[in-house]
Amino acid sequence: MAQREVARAVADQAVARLGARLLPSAVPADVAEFRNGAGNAVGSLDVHRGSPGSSIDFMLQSSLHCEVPNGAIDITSILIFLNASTDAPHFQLELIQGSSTSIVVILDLLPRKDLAFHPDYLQKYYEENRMDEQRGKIEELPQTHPYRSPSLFVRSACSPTAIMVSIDCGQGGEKALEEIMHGQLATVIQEVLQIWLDNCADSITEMDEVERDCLLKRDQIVRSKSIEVDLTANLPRMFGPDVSSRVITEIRKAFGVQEP
Amino acid sequence: MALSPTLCAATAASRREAAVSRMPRLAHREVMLALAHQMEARLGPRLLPSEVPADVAWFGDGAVPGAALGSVDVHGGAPGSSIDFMLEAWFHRALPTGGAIDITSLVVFLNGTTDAPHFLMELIQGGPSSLVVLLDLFPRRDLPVHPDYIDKYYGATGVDAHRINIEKIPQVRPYVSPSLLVRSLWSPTAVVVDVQCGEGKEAVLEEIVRGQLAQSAVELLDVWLQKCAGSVVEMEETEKESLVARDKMISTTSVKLNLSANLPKIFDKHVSDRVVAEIDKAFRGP
Repeated sequence: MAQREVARAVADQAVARLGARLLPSAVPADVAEFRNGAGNAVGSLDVHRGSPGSSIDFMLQSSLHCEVPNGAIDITSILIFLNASTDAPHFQLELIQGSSTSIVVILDLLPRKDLAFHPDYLQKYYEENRMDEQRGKIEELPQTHPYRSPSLFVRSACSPTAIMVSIDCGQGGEKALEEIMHGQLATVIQEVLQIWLDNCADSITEMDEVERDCLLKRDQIVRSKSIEVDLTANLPRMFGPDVSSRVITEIRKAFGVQEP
Repeated sequence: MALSPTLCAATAASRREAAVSRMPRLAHREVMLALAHQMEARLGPRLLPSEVPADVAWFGDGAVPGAALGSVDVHGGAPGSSIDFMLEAWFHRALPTGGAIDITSLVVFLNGTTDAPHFLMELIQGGPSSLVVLLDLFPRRDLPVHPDYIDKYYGATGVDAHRINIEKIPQVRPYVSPSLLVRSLWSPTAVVVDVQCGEGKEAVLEEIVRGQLAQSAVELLDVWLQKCAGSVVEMEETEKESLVARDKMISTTSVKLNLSANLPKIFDKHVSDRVVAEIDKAFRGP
């Protein structure tokens, strides 16, 4: 399945490059793979914490597959969050596919500062990296339309160069979508990840106490809200209370967010 | 100068109408005229009389072919009100090629007695059948850190419906500012679009302007007047200072990158300098 292959390639690229900066997977077996009682939904979750001294907080990969009356829903997420030794953006990729002819792509370097107050941050991580060119490469595809998340929070948290699109190849467009996914989309995702690995994952930022507190506080709020809105919105519906609460607990642990 | 509020409003309204009447008739200007009038009427005594010099309230010579015409007016907020200032700008320039550029802005900034969003509307018309529309409840906080703020002013108010209705129009597509900073300032429900109706399709644009656009603008203004302009939000001193400092930064950005960058292209340097100085004064405050 194209989505799985694209996500696999991204994860492999990240893991290979980050190497010893990632600890081995920390997830219990009944969360690494999980399914619902009815057997029509399966998921997986993998979390690698960053090793001590690295800038990586954690890398999370998740996939959900759920059969529905006229097909299936497939959602893949890859998040690589940095810790307070740097203010560089986090890496975010989400692929949400409701049919074989269309896919929603969210690909972004999530900002960790108030951009209005820090135009230099924008300059450093977005303008100098020419992130906007990557956005352009996807948006020039004729099958692309903007995707507006139903969550106002998600819209607010993304960067001004975020790729948030739906690629719709129309009826009979299965092959066309597959070509785009293995082609232009895979290329852009790879390039964005490379930019992130080169300019963000390795970075260290000198910060005073006030700046660090501010960064931590901002990270904390964004994380818990992201978990609430984004990652865990679908789980209870697809997997029932027991399985989903087990999985959500692991996700909260990864993000370092307490139970509410 | 002690004019009664109604006389102030009447003077400002008639000055505004006089300025607009000296420019070619344009549907978007008529829509903005109604909005500015509504804004002023509803804010009433919360606005002080204008102190803008006559040569900024109106500049340009209509008798000269291809001359740039413009009017800028600023009303400070009355002491004790939540209003910082109301700024309106009306620009027209006929182009040698036969077309024209018409830009109209209506911006009301709130002060530190509330954290509610500012009101911002700008119409940039580069030809008879194309129009860039910027319409937003301009956020004053770092949104991802304040999910309650998002819910209060953007979720509960239902304003995303306007963005959805406008974006549904086939001739409408997103307008992506070349400035990343400008992009980062918009709210998640901002209308930031480019309406392209195609060569010869002036009537189509006019219908959109007088129809969906006018309706959404009026409704959004109403939401803003009810939920934002009248609000009072208690804040600690440091929070308030931070908010006001952020206001200064975002106004510098939007003025410098939007109006100030475009004005010298339309007007002679000495005119645009004067106008930019007046606008700067409004944003900087007393």
